[in-house]
Amino acid sequence: MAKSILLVDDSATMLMSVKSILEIGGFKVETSSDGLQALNKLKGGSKPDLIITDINMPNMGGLEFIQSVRALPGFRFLPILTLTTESQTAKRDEGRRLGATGWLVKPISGPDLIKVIKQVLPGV
Amino acid sequence: MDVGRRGGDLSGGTPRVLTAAEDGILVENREALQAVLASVSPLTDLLQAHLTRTSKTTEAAALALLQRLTDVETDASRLLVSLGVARDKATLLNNEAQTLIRESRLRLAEMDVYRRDRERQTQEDRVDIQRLFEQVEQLRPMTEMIREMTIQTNMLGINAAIQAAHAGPVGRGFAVVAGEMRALATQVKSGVVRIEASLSGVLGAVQRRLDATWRAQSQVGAEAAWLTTLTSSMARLSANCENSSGELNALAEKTYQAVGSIRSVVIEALEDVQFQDIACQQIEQVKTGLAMCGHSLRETSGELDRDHFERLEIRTLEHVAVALHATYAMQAQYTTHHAVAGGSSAAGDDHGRPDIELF
Repeated sequence: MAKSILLVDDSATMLMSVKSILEIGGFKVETSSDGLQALNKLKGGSKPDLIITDINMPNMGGLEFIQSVRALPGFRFLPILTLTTESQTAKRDEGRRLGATGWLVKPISGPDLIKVIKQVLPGV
Repeated sequence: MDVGRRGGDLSGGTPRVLTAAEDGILVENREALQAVLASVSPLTDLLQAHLTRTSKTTEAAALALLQRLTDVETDASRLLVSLGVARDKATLLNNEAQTLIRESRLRLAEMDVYRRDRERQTQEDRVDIQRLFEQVEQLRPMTEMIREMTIQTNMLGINAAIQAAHAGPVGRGFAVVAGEMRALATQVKSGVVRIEASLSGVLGAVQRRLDATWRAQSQVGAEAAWLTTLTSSMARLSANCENSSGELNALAEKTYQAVGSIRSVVIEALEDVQFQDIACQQIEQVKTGLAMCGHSLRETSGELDRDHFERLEIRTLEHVAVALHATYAMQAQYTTHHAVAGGSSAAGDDHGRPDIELF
């Protein structure tokens, strides 16, 4: 059965681009346009195998979203990758401290993205 | 007439009281400067609006491009699926055709064996019938011999009858024997006639049978030629099927490769479209800078409303650059900033950390 990924980004082009790359890679993809919307999906029962989130978003940014996800029961060990234009050390370290599994800087190639996902998702 | 305001020359000399004309010029200059400053803010608003429109336009274009790429990828995927189904079906049909051809060739081989048996049998029949014909032919001289014997027997009977007549009453018994001999000769003669007729009938039948075997043998020859042709056709059909299947497979393989290349290109294009999000964020940064410039200049314009002789709180726009620098997200923004404005890049350094980092 295809692994499911929750993709969070306020950019419609990023959502469509990465969603297509992931679907070609054989994943089932759900999207949200900000952290708050994504968090509500998780609270509503969505159980993805992986979350890929942007950092700078309206309503709820990626760092706050990661922190909120980690506070939800059953999501402590869910892999969360950031996919962001943010490349600075301070933000990366904060993301790591809040529970991010990995930090990916935009733009990312399809093969690289799939390779990283295979590393964090066992059995893919 | 002076207006009681104190002015100073640009060389920093002793202040003096401004004349009414000079004060008027000063007010006009101040108002002109205020007008310039006030015009900056609408201009920055306009530029921001243009940038917003640019972002939206590139986003719409990128989305349309993505949609088309996705459509191409979807079509390519469908084509691959259809191709796979068609190839499987073609392989199945080819296998079935080969099976049929194989079975047909087996049947043909069996028919050829049967035909050879029949040919051999016909040959043997012909030889047997020929031998029979010859044997029956050999009976003909025997009937002639019997005929001669009946003639002689008849002659003997006649002579015996003559001798019996000469003997008178004594020869009466002998005359009876002579009569029986002649009657026997007559019966044998008619028997010979019937035997000859029967022999002719048998010979005719054997001859017809012999003719039939000759015709059968020539038919067997025609069948052999027909079987050879059919076997050859089957071999060609099999080879053609194999060639068609091979060409179809080669075509399918090339199509797979072509569609695979198309999908790779599409995926690369999907990656490249990410530039739009990056560009949008850079444009947002520029818009923020423009808004800060407009705001700062509005403040400066407000400062000019104050009394001529108060110290004005006027800042350069350097703080805008500093504030922008503090909000940069991308290494490219820091690089551009330092290339234009100079200064240390330490604040924006990602310390060489990779673009992909797993914690």
